[in-house]
Amino acid sequence: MELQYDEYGAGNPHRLHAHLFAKGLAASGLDSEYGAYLDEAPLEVLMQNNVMSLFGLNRRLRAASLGFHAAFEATSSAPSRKIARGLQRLDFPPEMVEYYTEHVEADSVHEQLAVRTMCGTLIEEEPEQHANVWFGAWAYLHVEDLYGERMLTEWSA
Amino acid sequence: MNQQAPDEHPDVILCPDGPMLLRGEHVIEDEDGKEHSTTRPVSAVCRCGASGIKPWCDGTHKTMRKRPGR
Ligand code: FES
Repeated sequence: MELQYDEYGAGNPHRLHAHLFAKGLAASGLDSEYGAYLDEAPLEVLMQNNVMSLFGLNRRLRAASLGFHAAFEATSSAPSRKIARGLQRLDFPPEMVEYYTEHVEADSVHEQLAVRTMCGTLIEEEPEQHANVWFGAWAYLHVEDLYGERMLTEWSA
Repeated sequence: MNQQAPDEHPDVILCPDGPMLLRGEHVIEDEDGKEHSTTRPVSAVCRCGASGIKPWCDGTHKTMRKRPGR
């Protein structure tokens, strides 16, 4: 709950994370409408989203959903710092950079909350869900890996 | 002092080899005497000393050697 509240800007609409991203896109001269670039998104990105929804929409997969989320948060702050630095180097507007610097700090907290208070509590209460948490975490790392491979191949082509 | 039931949410959580989580609003004074107010429902304060955004944790502790015996 605390994590979600933070994503929603802790009550400050200007700090809403989705809003920060939209502001960054607009400042970069990109379309900030929902789904604007859907047809251009590599299939690996859509796959990530589908796996996330699949876990989230099925109660029997709720532990996998938490594992997926924790793995995401736990691998987010360091890359966010690198992305922010890269965007700065490429002269992207400060609004776009800000989205990523915010996540360096925010996701260091979210990682701890997701792993400890969410996955940890679930496993304590329902130890039989242990393997499913790992299943979700590995599923996340797998789809993220596929996306990374795809981008690196395209960039080096 | 209020007796806290053990199942209540603690205000301060020390993460092993990681940051200190603070629930609620706090003002932190850093090594240079500068004050920083928390802005989140939960904040992570760097305990490893290697963060690039001190006093907050930025995840750098994960790249450091673990304490022996862990
Ligand atoms: S405790 Fe996380 S960066 Fe220092």
